[in-house]
Amino acid sequence: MDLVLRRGKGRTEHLDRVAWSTGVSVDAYGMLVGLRTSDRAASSALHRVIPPGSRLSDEREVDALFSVVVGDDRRTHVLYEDAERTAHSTDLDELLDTLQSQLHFRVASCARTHLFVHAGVVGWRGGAILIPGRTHSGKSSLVAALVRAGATYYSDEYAVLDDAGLVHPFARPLGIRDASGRTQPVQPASLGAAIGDAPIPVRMVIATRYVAGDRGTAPALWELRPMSPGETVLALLENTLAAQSRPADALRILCAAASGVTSLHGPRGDAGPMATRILELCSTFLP
Amino acid sequence: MEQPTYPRSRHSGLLVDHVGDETIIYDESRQEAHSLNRSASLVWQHSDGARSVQQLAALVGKELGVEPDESIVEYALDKLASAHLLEDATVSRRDLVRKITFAGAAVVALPAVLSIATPSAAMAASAVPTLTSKVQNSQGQNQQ
Repeated sequence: MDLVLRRGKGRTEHLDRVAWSTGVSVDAYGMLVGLRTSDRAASSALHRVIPPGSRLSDEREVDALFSVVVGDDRRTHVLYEDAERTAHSTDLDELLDTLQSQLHFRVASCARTHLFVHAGVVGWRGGAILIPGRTHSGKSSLVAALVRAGATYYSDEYAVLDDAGLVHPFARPLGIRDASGRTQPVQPASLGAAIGDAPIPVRMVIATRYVAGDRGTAPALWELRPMSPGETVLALLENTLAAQSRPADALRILCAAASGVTSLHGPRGDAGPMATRILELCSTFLP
Repeated sequence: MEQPTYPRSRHSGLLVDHVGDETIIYDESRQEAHSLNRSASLVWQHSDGARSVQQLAALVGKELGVEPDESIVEYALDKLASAHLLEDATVSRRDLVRKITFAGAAVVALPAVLSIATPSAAMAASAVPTLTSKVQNSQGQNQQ
């Protein structure tokens, strides 16, 4: 497919002269995104990075255009976002990882039909547990522990909320840090996880971050403090990518999502014991 | 300086929504969001420039089922002024602190205004793009 960037979105003439071998267009939450590469061998990789929940599209004129120029052997591969060169590397796989991060961030920031909150999400007995938080707050570790304890995997990166405040799955591989601190993709199935396939209402919000402690001194579940619905909305808004660009939508959707939920905040200890107790709490107090 | 006798809440440039009995306000010009609990919501909602502090205290007391207490209203006005949610607000915190006693009334009536600065998209995502050490940006610098 011969892709072009929508008028007014930037000038890409210097890229349009490249002989693109593969192009694909997707509708990602109301935003049309184009992906193209100069090497047919890399086309399957383009499909791998498409955001979960997107649909293939026939539109050739797109709102955002990501271009991967694959270099010859031992040459540098280059990534462009619209007209801007954003990264280059001699390792194509790593460049494609970067493409995925930039693509998902762009969609999360500019989606028109849904609201993206930076949060881990699992499902439990028909309701969603949201874990909002910045990178390094321990979201992925807690999500992985909840999944190992029997929860359904929805996302370790974004809570995708629709107009009614329901949470949709965004089930890309979990990003788990190894001993060296480097993030490694982990397939949910390898954790024995069931993967969510339907939107569900929010039942619980856990705004927490990991605090290491000596044995017996790490914070426990009962050290978390309850949040009011209003505090819950602010905790989610602090992690909402379109908070400034779509504030009216953000308020309406987050107020719908936070209505009637149980919310806790504070530091936490190790993810495993915490996950078990969170699910016990859900089972005990929630319908 | 004293509170305005007839306080007037600010409405221009604000987006307002509700969750439970709390009010969520987004300030478009300052890109801040506020959560007002019930008593703060009542004071903000009824500060129309026509009601006195005394009248507001009576109204809030009736709504919350507590004795009317002007210090509660003044405390709420102080919080609302700090959040830029009043028109022409002038506040003396020292005087307010001295006056507020909440005699018996009313922990339940204690006004609360929580505020955050809303994040940009990059701040909310906080680690995008996730560039590995071997990947360089367009300036040729290694990214972590």
